Amino acid sequence: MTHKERMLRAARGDWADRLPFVPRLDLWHNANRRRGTFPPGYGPETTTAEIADGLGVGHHRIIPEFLNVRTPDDSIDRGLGIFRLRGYAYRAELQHVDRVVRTEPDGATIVEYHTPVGSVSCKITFTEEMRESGASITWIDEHVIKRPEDYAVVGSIFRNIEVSPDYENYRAFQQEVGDTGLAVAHGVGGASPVQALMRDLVDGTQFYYELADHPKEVQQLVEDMTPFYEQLVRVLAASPAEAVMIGANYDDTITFPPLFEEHILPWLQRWAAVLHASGKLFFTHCDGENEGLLPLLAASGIDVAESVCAPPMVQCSLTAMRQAFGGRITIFGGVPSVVLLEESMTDDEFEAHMRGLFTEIAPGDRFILGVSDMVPPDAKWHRLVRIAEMVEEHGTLPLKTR
Amino acid sequence: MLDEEGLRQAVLKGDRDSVRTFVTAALDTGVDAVKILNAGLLPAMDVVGKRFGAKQIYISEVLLSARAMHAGLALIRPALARAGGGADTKPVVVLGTVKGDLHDIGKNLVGMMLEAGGFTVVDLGTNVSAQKFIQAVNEHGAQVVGLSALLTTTMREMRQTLAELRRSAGTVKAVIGGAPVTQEFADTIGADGYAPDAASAVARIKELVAPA
Ligand code: B12
Repeated sequence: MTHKERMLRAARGDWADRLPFVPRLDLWHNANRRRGTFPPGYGPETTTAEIADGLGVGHHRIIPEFLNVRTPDDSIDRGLGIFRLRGYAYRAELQHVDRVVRTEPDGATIVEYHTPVGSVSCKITFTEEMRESGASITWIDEHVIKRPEDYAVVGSIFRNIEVSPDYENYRAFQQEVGDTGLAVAHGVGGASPVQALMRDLVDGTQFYYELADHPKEVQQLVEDMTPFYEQLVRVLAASPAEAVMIGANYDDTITFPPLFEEHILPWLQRWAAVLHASGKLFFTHCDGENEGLLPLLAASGIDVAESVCAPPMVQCSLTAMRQAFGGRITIFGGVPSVVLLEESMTDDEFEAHMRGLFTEIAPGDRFILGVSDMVPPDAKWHRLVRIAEMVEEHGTLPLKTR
Repeated sequence: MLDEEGLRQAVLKGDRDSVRTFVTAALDTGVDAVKILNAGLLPAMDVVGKRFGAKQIYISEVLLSARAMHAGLALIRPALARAGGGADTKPVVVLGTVKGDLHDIGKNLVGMMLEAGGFTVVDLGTNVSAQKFIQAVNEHGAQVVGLSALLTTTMREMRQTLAELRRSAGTVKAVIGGAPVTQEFADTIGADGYAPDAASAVARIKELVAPA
């Protein structure tokens, strides 16, 4: 079975021949390439595909490489949460907006949006320190919504966005990935307008004041953004992709249960219905603390909870999650990134952790093993090799309960 | 007259306007600013911190309560300063997310709760270099510096920052926190304190500044 087949089977709730293992390598790769510290036998031009192949694991092509832009246009609307990256199955174009871009002396990018109903601006940065810390996406230093008046302007920008298919772009990506992994068609990070507001459009702390202080503006924005979301999901549903990713970074503190239930859950359910009607698998990126969100995620209609972290990095155990999901949702993840770090545990502790994990997830249905959120730059290479070996040795499905 | 219960409830509800009304009424009738602080604002925030720690309330309620408390604090600040005891002598905590790290929601919450707990907080924001921490500690005469990190890569930066603080910022006490940080790590790098959440951060920092 190819890695792709294994992933598809696991995502659909069918048995694969063995546990798929698909660690996200892009940040580890970037950092080690820059430092010239690839493992022995890998030259300076080695790609993530070659590393994955060398390890005998699936190639993780689930999250786009946000920094890997073809032209500045690919990420210029990052302040709106919009990207036009390589591999995307859609293009979102702003209409009736005059966009003015400036670079500040400190390297920050200021993007101004002038519309018939007013103007907004944002400031995007990416520093050397961020690169070193392994950030894979630029940072919004100043958000487009800073004053109550800005809601209407942002609303008008969204109302006028035209989403069109870019299936050639996606097909090229799909072909490149081939059978080495699953080429997931990426949507947007905010699963719903309110989550987009929280992630991209206002400051993450200010967001909570906005909900309390400007409920009318928020409600209007939700209405203004809805047509954009509907177009987007329609285009993704009709795309040649097997799987679609929408929504990211839930966490029971920041997207706490009542907030999730009111502002995120109904949208996930809606997207699930549209995507399922076209036979697509629905992935969403669950990299935070999921403990308090389990019943809500279970009811969301998603097929795959991707980038699931495990103790000691979060409270929520894989057992609790498997129980809550009741065999209806596939968990993708399970290896907390810290176990790959020499300073976090000894090799013996690491081996014991991994053995425990295999026992915990047995019989291994609806599971894609991954490292959450990603393989860290300083991961001990030998430990990645070991996980791949363990999967080879003990990963035949169904896993033995022992 | 001070409606203590009314004021506390207003803070708990995050109702800024009512907090202002209660505080103004109290000030107008000659109630001592210190009493408004100690009998109304601070105990209310204490409850908020405890409820959040016990997962009885959510982050938005904490932030709204903290903001309401600030609205009251702003009104009594001049009187506190006049009384000589209050505003100026509050212990100073310099707070920031270490270099390379941009996560700030947890740090902001800690800052809010510290202010609510009677500290003056100098928030340096995110991606803060050791140099900036040292400068701020010296400039503001801070007793405590709080370092936040959410990434395993930037936890290392904490060690570095702490070493430089030890060299150049005298006796300042260093407290660290953030999801991947543990007491064990704090001990390894020689931090004076660690706290897993905002409420215990306030308690830990109070212990550190208490006269021995
Ligand atoms: C929200 C979030 C984001 C937001 C940040 C928004 C913002 N303005 O802060 C966004 C999406 C932008 C983001 C970006 C990234 N993130 Co992030 N993010 C999270 C998430 C989901 C929640 C963090 C949060 O705010 N929690 C809520 C607050 C209230 O909790 P808290 O921060 O822990 O704070 C509490 C305590 O820790 C303590 N505390 C905090 N600070 C301090 C300080 C002191 C002095 C004390 C005493 C106590 C204390 O009190 C707080 C209140 O109770 C976590 C998941 C997680 N499990 O933590 C991942 C997580 C932290 N992110 C992660 C990653 C990898 C990233 C990125 C590198 C992703 C990328 N590929 O680019 C970037 C990094 C950017 C950068 N250079 O910093 C990883 C870190 C892994 C690791 N250990 O290294 C996590 C753990 C996700 C995961 N499962 O892997 N992220």
